[in-house]
Amino acid sequence: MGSATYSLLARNSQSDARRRRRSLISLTPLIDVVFILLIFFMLASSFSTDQAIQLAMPGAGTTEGALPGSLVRVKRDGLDLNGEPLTLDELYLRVRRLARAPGGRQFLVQPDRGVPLQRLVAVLDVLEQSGAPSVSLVRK
Amino acid sequence: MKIDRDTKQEFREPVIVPLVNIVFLLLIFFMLVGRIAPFEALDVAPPVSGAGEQTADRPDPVVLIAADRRLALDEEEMEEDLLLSTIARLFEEDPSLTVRIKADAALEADQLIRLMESLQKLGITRLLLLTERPES
Repeated sequence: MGSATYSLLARNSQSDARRRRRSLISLTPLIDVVFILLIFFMLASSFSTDQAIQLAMPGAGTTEGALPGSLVRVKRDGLDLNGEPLTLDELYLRVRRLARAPGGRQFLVQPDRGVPLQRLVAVLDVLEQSGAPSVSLVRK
Repeated sequence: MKIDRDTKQEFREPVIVPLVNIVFLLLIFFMLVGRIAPFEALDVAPPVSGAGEQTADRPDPVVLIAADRRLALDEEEMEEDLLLSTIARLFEEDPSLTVRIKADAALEADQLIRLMESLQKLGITRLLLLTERPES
């Protein structure tokens, strides 16, 4: 009886090993497919979320027309605030002072022809940082 | 000899299983976390802005403007007249429509304002300019 159990066990473990080996072979195409899927999702997916800034134009709101206004002109080689040439840093300080004045102030930003959008966005960033209450874009 | 080969195979077996596990985990991670980026009709590199705010994940229409002034609405390149009439129709269906503008950083800024004026004439006042976060 003892030897019979042994041989049964031996046969069992043998078939176990064979089954394991066979299942290992069928695992390979599965791994291939999973790898391909992984590479697809790694390349096709993006993690960046959209960033955006609000754009406004004069007359779009109802109360904006009542505020006193300043004109920021963005030129190819510089910018000016109400006709006075400034650098970006000076603009920041000036706008901060103007924005703190009671009643607030509307800022109109007017890019010259041929000014790239990146430059306009940089000026809009400075206005936003300095706390300008209302910024709108006008065309020349 | 035979015993040697057997032990080698048994040795190889347990190495591949954790690898497969990790690959599966990576796959599930990328499937869940990643968002498949939609195809875009034009090659547009948005301007960099430090003031950009994260936008809500809403299916707003996106107007693309390339540096050479070509226009596209979502996935389709089109002429300005068709683009404006399509947006006008969308605006009729949904009066609280927000239009996202993805303009190239090298585009002339007055071209963007010209498009904004055209959209404003349709009555659309909610406009967003898509920007990129500055790399720090």
